[in-house]
Amino acid sequence: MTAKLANLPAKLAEAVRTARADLPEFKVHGRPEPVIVDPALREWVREFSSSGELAAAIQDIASNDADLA
Amino acid sequence: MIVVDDQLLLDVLAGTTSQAAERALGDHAIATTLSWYFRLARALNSDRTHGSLSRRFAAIGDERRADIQSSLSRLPEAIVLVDSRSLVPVMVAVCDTTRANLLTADAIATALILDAGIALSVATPLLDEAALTAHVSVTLVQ
Repeated sequence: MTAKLANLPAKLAEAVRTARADLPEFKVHGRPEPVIVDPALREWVREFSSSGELAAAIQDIASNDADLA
Repeated sequence: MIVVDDQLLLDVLAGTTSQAAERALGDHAIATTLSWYFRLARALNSDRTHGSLSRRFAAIGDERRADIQSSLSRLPEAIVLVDSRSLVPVMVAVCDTTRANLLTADAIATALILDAGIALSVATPLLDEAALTAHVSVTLVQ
């Protein structure tokens, strides 16, 4: 048992332990390569993200669904 | 490994992470949750986003705009996502332990299973409270 699991309530720790035992091996190492390589598209994403437009679109979703807030 | 929210996920997918995000994410493998992936995909397909895309790319065709949205909303294999069969029992146990909505239970359960921290672009009191109870570290990246 890791230190983190030792600090959890027994039922939660047991659920995590079971899930970890069933977990497949993730063949990922380090940061993934970006899927957007076109500089113009990257610039759009940067502006979309930093301008608050993405946050506003997410806030719209969260405002209408408390489970996604 | 580190679990990222929807806004950070977009930056990772697009290769547009800020310096602060670079420091927080380091060279960790990246995971996200179904809820954050879903919220990002919905945000990218909202009327508000369509408006933004249209304004910024007025000179390009509808097909190109669709390509942009498609490549940003398709999650690559290199982003880890825990299978629902493993995740849901832990989400239920999280909800028995602390106050949590779907998004919070999803994030905390994912972090616990992967033994990972969480990186957020926006402070979320409900998630912070649950993370404290579950001893999951949360880093706010702004």
